[in-house]
Amino acid sequence: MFTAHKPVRREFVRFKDLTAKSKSDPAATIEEMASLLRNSKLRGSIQFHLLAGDEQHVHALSFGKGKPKTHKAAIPKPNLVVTLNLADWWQIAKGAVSPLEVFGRGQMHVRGDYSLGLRVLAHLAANEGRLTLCA
Amino acid sequence: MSVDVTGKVSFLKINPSLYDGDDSCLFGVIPTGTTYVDVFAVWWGQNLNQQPPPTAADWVLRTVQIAMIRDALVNKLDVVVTYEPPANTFLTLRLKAT
Repeated sequence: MFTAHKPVRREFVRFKDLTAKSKSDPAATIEEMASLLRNSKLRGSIQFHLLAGDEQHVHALSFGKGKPKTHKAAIPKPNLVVTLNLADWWQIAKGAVSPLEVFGRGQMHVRGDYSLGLRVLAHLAANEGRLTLCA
Repeated sequence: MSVDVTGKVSFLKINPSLYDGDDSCLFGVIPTGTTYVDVFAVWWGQNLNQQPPPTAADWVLRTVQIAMIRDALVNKLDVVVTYEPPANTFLTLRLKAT
């Protein structure tokens, strides 16, 4: 007897809620991320380009040596640059949507070491789930 | 507004693992004069239950795209990828004329 396999898709990993400090200031979500990375052994820097119409908000986060630092402007040679719509970022920061879902929809551009992003996501995960990108 | 990236292909990854939910193809381009990698998706069928399955025409197109990217990777040819940020899928992909 032939039994067809039904694809089973585990949920993607989502971030913990990063919007506790502010529901309107994206910089506060990056600061919350920095705060949650304080005790991690991760090293690197991530720059976010958040697009809202013609406006672009640039925020960056560097971590690994001492206390993680946030920046409200571009930094030199970030390890990873992530570009996405601000509306999508809010969904990600609230933990409502996984960044991998946004990437899979084709709405997130990644430049640099994307495995760093996956490691940060693993460290700040709100749920158990899939954490692979074409792996 | 669309953006052109010109450079060498650094990797091509294809994962046809439909049953673990990661049916995808990604490739990277190192823009000329830089050391970072821009990551693009040829396809990523994560929303299996929401999207219609790819047609034969989709697969013909994907096969041609993969062949071009593979040739560029193996022969170290420059490619030009045109995309519209924040998208990671491309509008056009072509080999750069020398």
